Amino acid sequence: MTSDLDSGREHRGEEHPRGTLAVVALYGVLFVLGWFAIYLFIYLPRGPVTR
Amino acid sequence: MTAALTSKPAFLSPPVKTRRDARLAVANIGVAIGAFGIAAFMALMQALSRANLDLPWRSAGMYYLSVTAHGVLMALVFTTFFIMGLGVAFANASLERNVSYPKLAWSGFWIAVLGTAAAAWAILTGKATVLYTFYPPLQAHPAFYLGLTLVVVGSWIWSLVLLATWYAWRRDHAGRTTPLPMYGMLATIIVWLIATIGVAAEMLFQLIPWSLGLKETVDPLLSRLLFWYFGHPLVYFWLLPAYTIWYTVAVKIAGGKLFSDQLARVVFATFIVLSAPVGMHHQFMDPGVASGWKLLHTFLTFGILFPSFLTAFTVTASFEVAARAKGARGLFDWIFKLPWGDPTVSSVLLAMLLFAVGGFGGAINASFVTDSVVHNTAWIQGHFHLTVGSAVALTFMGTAYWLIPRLTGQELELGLLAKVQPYLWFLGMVLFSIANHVTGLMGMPRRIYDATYQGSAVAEKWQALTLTSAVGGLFLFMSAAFFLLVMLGTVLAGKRTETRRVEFSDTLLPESNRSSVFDRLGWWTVIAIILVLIAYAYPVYSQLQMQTFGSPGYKPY
Amino acid sequence: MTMHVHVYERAWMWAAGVIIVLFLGTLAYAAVAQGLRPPSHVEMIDPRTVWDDPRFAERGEVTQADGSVVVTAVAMTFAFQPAEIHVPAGRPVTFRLTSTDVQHGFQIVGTNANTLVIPGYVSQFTTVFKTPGEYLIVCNEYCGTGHHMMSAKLIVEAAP
Repeated sequence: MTSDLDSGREHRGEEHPRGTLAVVALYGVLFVLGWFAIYLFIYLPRGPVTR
Repeated sequence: MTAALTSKPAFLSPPVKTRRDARLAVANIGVAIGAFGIAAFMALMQALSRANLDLPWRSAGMYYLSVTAHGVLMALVFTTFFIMGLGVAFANASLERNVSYPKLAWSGFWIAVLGTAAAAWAILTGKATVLYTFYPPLQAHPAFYLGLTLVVVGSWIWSLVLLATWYAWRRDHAGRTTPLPMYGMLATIIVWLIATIGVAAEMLFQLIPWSLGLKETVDPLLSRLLFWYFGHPLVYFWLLPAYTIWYTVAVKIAGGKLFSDQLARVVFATFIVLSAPVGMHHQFMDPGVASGWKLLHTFLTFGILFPSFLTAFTVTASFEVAARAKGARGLFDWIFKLPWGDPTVSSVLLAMLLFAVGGFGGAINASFVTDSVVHNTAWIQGHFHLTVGSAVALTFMGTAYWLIPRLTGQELELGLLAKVQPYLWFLGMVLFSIANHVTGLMGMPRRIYDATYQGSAVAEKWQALTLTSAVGGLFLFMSAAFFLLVMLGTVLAGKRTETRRVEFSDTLLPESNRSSVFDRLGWWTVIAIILVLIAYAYPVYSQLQMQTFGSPGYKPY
Repeated sequence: MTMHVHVYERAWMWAAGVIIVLFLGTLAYAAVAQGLRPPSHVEMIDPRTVWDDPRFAERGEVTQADGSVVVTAVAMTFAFQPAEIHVPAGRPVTFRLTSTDVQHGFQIVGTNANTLVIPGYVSQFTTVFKTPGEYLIVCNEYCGTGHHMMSAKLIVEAAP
């Protein structure tokens, strides 16, 4: 698979979906922060378990 | 009935007898909605019990019975029948032909109905309070296991009918790519056929002979391996039809075009490949399963985050392009230009929003470290009510508002209730789900009739949030009742209307309609089976080789 | 074949890939470098003769020569035996559990101690309790009509 970004075909409609990019970027940041928050601030202080 | 799924001219051969397929689709969706209604009532009983209302019939036995009925009827019956109905309608409309072997399709439907009736009888008479996970050695009446097996057999027949329909279409359209709505349904079917091997083996070799007394004991860990081999791809069997609706229906109703058809196919093909070899992330806390296998399944599970991340972009971008065409210019104002008053669109948008949180919770569950914080706590029911209970169920309800009028040729009645219903669901689910996620983090177990633990101080802290989840449950029941009223009103009193087609979104860019690597579904299936063998062949083999001690059945309910 | 991927979508695909690798990297580090594993002990036992089995004939706490503690307990409908467990703070505690009937859960509320207890198998894991106090132990796997009553107490005592 190759992307042909240079062909100029990526101009879809009037504008780029910059709102979507902002929304998913925000989501990605919250997703990572939330995961690490639960791992670092809830799991680890409760005392890890080994098998 | 004057229903028509497509307006294909009659001189095309074979003629599309849309009414015939519409009846089959409506029958399936009708059973789905009936099961949904009973299950919603069971949920109301649980909410009232959670609120500590001393109703005369309130008892631990009734509580666990209602949890079992709610789980089986929602997660197994409502979803399966709705998806079967949707599959028939989408095959007919997107391939523009009748489904093959209609008599076989109807016999599959009746087999599944019979199975549902048997399982429902066993549950409602108190002979199968084993929850929808039915872990042995909890033992149910044989009718419960036989009934659920018949539901799966019915769904297999449905799968074969749709596959035959697709083969016939492909013969007539050599070199053409499969329309996306059908592609999504085919991915659903492949995931389902691979997944159900596990539960079929559990039923046929373990639970049915054991419950009939032909086999004295079963190995509960082998059951868990087989159940979760089925149980996680089951999630994608629910989810892929919802994704198909997001891509091909919701975007269309919102006035938009699909941002990328090819990436949607990447998503579906990835799900075919990765759905099954991940089930052990439900068994992180099981003894008897070596940690190396749990780690492998962890890695594959995170792989399956990728297609959902991709879906979030493609569907959102398609909505954004639709809103920009109506004049939105800012970074976020397009969100408010979307048709939030259309119940199908608002259902899907709210479903996506709730699923965004559900996906995050899934990543916590799939990490073996953080899973030990939340495993089998209230967090889990908070999580899956956002996924199957919102991403899937809310999408399906929203779809019914659009599809049922097109299948029956009747106008949607009580439109105002339909408009309000998705928002009520959202509100109820936010209350229910936040409360359960938080009490889960605080350590409250899931599936308990009473959360006081004989006045334990730590349990005392759960009580306020438990009440919040009950209030959420009441909003959810109100929403479910609105949905049922709209459906009943439409079918019983809906005005005859001009026939409208089931139409799907176009793509933003003109896409080639030539067959591509994604249409090689046989090869994607082969890759999926190879991964399944890598992830499961040795663990199941060694489980069968090891000296294990089986358990006789128990009925402590 | 050629595939048209919008530049924003391609950026998001890379970001999604990075997020997934970040999580997996953290989990691999936890598993390999820190030795954190889910309870995955493999040991069988006949569930019908648990009470006579030398491994479970005596239940409760046993302090080992190195100061660590082994706790042996049995889960059954609808109780844990023993119903009260005493362990010292700050020392490794290894739990060994099995069931005499259906599947149960064993979760010490407020800690990461959380395991399934499956008849026919022995669950085992090790942890350290830092904070002395009374902890609630609950069954977190549905086991029948009395499931919500199935609990026990863990008393973590300040180490001498």
